[in-house]
Amino acid sequence: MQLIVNGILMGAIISIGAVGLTLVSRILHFFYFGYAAMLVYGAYLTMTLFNDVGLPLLPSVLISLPLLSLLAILIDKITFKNLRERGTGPFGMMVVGIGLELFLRSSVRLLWGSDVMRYDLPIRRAIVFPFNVRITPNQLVIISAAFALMILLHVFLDQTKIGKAMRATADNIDLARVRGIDTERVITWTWVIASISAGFAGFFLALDTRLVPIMGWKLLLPLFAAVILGGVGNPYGALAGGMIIGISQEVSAGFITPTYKPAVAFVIMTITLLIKPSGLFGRGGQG
Amino acid sequence: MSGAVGFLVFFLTYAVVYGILALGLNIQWGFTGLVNFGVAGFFAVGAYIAAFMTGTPSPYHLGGFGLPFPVGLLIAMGVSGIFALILGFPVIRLREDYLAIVTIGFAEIVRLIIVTEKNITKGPYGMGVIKPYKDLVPASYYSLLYLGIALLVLAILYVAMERAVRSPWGRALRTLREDERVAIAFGKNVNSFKLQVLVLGSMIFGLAGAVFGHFFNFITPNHFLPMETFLVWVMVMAGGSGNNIGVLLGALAVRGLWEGMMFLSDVLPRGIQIGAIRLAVIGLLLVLVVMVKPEGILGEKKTASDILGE
Repeated sequence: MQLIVNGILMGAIISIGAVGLTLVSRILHFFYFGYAAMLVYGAYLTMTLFNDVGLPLLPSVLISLPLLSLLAILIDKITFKNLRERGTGPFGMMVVGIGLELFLRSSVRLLWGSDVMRYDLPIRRAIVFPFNVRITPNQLVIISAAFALMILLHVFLDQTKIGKAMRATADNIDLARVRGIDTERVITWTWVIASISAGFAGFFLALDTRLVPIMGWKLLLPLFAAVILGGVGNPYGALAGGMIIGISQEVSAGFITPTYKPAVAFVIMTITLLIKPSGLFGRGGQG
Repeated sequence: MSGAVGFLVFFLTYAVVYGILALGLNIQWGFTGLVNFGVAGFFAVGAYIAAFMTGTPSPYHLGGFGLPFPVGLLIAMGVSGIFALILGFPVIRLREDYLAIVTIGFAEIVRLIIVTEKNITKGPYGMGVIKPYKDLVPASYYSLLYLGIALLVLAILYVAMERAVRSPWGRALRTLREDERVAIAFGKNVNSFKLQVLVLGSMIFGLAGAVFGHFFNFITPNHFLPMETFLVWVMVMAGGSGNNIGVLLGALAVRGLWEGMMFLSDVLPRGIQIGAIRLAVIGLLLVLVVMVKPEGILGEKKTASDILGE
């Protein structure tokens, strides 16, 4: 039982992060490794606002998100926009994304140092539920906030005009363009959603564990696994994929050495690619 | 040997190791267009396998079979090739961006296994590697001897690679890099060629690992972080994909930059981490190569007949 609850917690964190990654992968047409750095920046900006500036926790998170969006859009304007105009293929974009990941991760080390850090919160005792399941108050907050976010994301993608345009672009970029959707504007919004997604995932991960510059990179493999399992470009698939990956990883710890958790994500991802590259839910899948 | 000469020998040996890696990636990416982000994984396999083979018996890790150094190199290459075959057989037909993620995942799993299986590898504590032929010369000249051995390995490999890429086989690789459909139209089995190249290149990474281990005489999982993979990518992309001399110069230049940044610590304020700066510079280089000079400094030599002209 405890393993399943851990899995749901991890699944919630991966799901929230995977939504942004799947939209970026599909709408920008490449797998963005720099996404890992966005998670890390989200977690660290929140830490600075909370620990150093002294804001309450929720406003710290909410202020870090527009900062993260600005950074993401600025990076896009400097790098990817040029490459898009030049017609650079997905591979070139991916290499630039890796370069950015290395650069941004190092900048975190230079700005905040390499030491392990945490949010200045009192350590509270875990609540014991039936079946001797232990959950800390922080973890309860993460799980409920993650589900609330999922509903908000659904409302955004389903009800708002820009949300629909994003889904349309994710579905078929040429068709969306023909129908008069301003794809550059959609791309800007994609970075905003990706920042919210990455920012929260980074914050949740840091709240549950600690802050280290490598934390984003370590989550990247499970994130990609969730994106591919759910079908690239399918936000609902990413949510489901994230849950499946999270639960499988944690439950596997009951059978194999826990250090092999990332291997579970890797195996699920590779099998998906071999059997059904379009993911669990069919459509999409062409990156 | 004096400090400066000693450092130069150390630097050059290190550059030779990366030169071997760069030649391996050049056959995969440069000539065939095959994406492999798992360089560090095969590098690690080669280093550890060779260490088991040539080492003296030990209860704390696998082997210590006391085999001669060249045999260790060959077995390291063979095992790396087998790993590549097992990985490549199912995944070789994946599109390049998926292949990128799968190979990077593979390298991370290899590192996880090395960290976790302490009975085999001594895990994060790292394991010692012998100095081959150390009785041939006085101890103070040994590093020079090893540089010679490493250079010999690199030279043999370079000649072999140049011959391979000029052969009909090499021409087929370039064809499938430029347009897979053309290669298929000529009756080439594209996936079979890609698998051959994945295995061959990975054997070369394994060889590099073996040369590295016996040079450093101590290996830990931290020598095989994903960053090593991207370091080799920078060397190949900046030096000129598809040009063996270009990627060797790339290896020398990037290694030079890497070591050179050490001297920054005298200039920079205290507390600034050189490791972070190095990684940031490598990251920037990757971005710049794609944005400014995608063909690299040297670029590929024209291989068409002179009669065809430009």
